[in-house]
Amino acid sequence: MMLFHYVHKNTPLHTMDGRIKVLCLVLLSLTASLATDVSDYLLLSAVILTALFVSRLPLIPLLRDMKFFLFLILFVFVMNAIGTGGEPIPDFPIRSVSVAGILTGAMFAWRLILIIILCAIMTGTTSLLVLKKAIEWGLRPIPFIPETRVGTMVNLTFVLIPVVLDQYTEMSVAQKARCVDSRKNPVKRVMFITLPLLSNIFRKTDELIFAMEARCYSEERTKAVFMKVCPMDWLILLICVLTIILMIV
Amino acid sequence: MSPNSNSSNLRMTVYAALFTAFIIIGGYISVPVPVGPVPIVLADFFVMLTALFLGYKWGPVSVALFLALGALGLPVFAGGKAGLAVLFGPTGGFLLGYLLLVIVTGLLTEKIKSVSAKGTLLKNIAALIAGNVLLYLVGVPWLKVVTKLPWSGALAAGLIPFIPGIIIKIAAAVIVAQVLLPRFKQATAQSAPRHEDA
Repeated sequence: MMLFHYVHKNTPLHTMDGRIKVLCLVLLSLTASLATDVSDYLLLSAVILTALFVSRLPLIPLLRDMKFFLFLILFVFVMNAIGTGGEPIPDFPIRSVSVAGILTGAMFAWRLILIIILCAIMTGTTSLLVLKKAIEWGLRPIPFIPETRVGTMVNLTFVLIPVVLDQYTEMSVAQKARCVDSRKNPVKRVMFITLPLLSNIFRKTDELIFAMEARCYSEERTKAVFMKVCPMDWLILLICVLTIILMIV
Repeated sequence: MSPNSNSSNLRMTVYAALFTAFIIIGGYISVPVPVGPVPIVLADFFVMLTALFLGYKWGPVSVALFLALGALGLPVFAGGKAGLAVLFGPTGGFLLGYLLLVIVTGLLTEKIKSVSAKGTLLKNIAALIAGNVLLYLVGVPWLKVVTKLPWSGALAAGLIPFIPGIIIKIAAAVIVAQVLLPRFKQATAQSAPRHEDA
């Protein structure tokens, strides 16, 4: 799976300063949630698609992996189309589908796709280390928050999500092979997968903890070092700020 | 912090990150409800597990990390939503309510002592119910204020469709805790005293 994995390239987005990149992500996702009409969406799509081309991430694998979200996107669309209300379409087999509903559904689906692409660009061009350093830097001025620990936790969360999903796939294949899914009782079926899945994941997590201890992990470590911020970074930040201003005006 | 006291801290740090991962994955398994903006998610099931497993000290850390990642703009909220606007949007009350749920449930389960396995079971159920009541006490009025729905509408969009789900999730969380929690607690206790001479 290519989506949400770091791909090493040499583009302005890859070499960008992590701190500014996180700021851009915050701005753009805020823009995405503020977008209301078609022109807003077109503007945001233009910015995000440009970023996608600049990042030179492999497009075809990315598109192929989007199919994991296809169901979610379709679901959002259909539920909005049915649930919004308004003038029903004459001669349409499903009564509660309205023009307004289809439009709202399309907008929501569009926003979801944009956010997924945005996140794919972010994770595809930023190594976990850079992200961690940026988060540590951002937390440094805030008192009472141990920034090293939070940085490590963010990293661990992103490391553990694929572990959980892999374990789930493995477990469900193993159980299918043993015909567990032909059981009638859904509660039993859920429990049969949840309990071993969680205990397996806990074991994996314990292994991770041992590995960290064995390598003398400690929170007293060298401070994050940053390269000089180059003009290109400021330019990208400027584009993000302009996008959000254009959106609000 | 002295490096020697790190062992149990490290363990809880990693587990807090693991439960954050659970909550994020749970948010992706979301089913929109046609009557309103609040979807059915598995995230709250994992928030309940977080409360039972990590307690009132580390549970909130895990949930706060989830909220912070979402606020940063990573698509971690229900159905891949992200951003500060979601945190202050119609469902924001539920997201912040997760923090309350974890703190209250964690406090109740850790502070009340129980002797028998049956006592623990009842205690966990009671604590989870209390936590969920608080969650909806924050979530539903917030939904009403933000969406300017009347009370009946807010209840229909924010509470009534979820009641069967809550009961199932509480039952599932309690069963999971009953089976896996003793071993988890034992491992935590084992990792702690090894370095306590520091």
